[in-house]
Amino acid sequence: MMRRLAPAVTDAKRSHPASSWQPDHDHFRRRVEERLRDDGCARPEFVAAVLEVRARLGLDVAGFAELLRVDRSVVDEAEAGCPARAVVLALARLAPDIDWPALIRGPARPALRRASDRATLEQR
Amino acid sequence: MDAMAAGDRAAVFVLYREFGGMIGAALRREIRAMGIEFVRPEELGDLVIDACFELNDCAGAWRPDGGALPWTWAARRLRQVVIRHIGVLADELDHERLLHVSEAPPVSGAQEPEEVAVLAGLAALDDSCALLQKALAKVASARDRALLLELKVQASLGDPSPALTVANRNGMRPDAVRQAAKRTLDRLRRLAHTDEHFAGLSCLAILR
Repeated sequence: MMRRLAPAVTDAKRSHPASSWQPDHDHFRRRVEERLRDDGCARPEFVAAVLEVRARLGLDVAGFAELLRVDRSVVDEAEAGCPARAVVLALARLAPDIDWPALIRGPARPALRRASDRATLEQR
Repeated sequence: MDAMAAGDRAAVFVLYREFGGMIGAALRREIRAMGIEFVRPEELGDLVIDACFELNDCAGAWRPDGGALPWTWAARRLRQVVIRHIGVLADELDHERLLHVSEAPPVSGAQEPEEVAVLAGLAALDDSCALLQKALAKVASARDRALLLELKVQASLGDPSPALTVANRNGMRPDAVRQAAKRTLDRLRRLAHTDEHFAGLSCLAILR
């Protein structure tokens, strides 16, 4: 009868310097969200998810817009944190594993376009 | 890299997914070069992400016809990522040794002490120095001991003609200085090979 490897052994193998590196996509997306938030993005979670889906498909903005059957400017706006309803619906069809409505629920953070705006917010 | 340089923010996801392993290997090299043999996978994961952002930020400056992979080209930036994460490396202070040093008589700044006297002072603190001092006393005259140490100190200071400097200082010819130093070194090497007590000498830089 085969015995299952003890968790410690599995962990040791995973920690071994020679073990192959595995990407942690969730962690990476969260870090992108942080960066977007720092840059003043209005909806960092949504934008990071859109970028991740587009990257997964290997498409540029034009190709992605074509796939979603929306205008390129709509995708640009979505990636800037201002999603139109049409793009959210199209994304929900394309990547149903992501809860898109949840990502845009609630008021958007004010987008910071100028350095002075950012300074004002930091003072608060 | 072209897509990142053009401002496509999705490209960094592709970089991470497709090349994260290679970037991780480059980071491991940098970490190892800093004297750290092991890094936890979680830490490496964070470093790979930081490195991807760093490459994203400098993508515009990379040229594919340069022949270097982006993470090789940006090795210094990756090193900065590692340094930011790990911090400044330093060995722990040996308090016991520091106590001995602080109790030692202060060295006058006006005149540098003779090399033989310096070695005697160091011999009280360091076993290797004590061994060298003992070996020198066994195989060489006081003059030859002083010449060898003076010559080595001059050479370590970057003097292009250490034998000439030592010869002028001692009223000798450079050849004679070189010969005396060679004689002493040969004897020290022989002693290291033949006497087990002095075997540790062969590890010292002065005998290489």
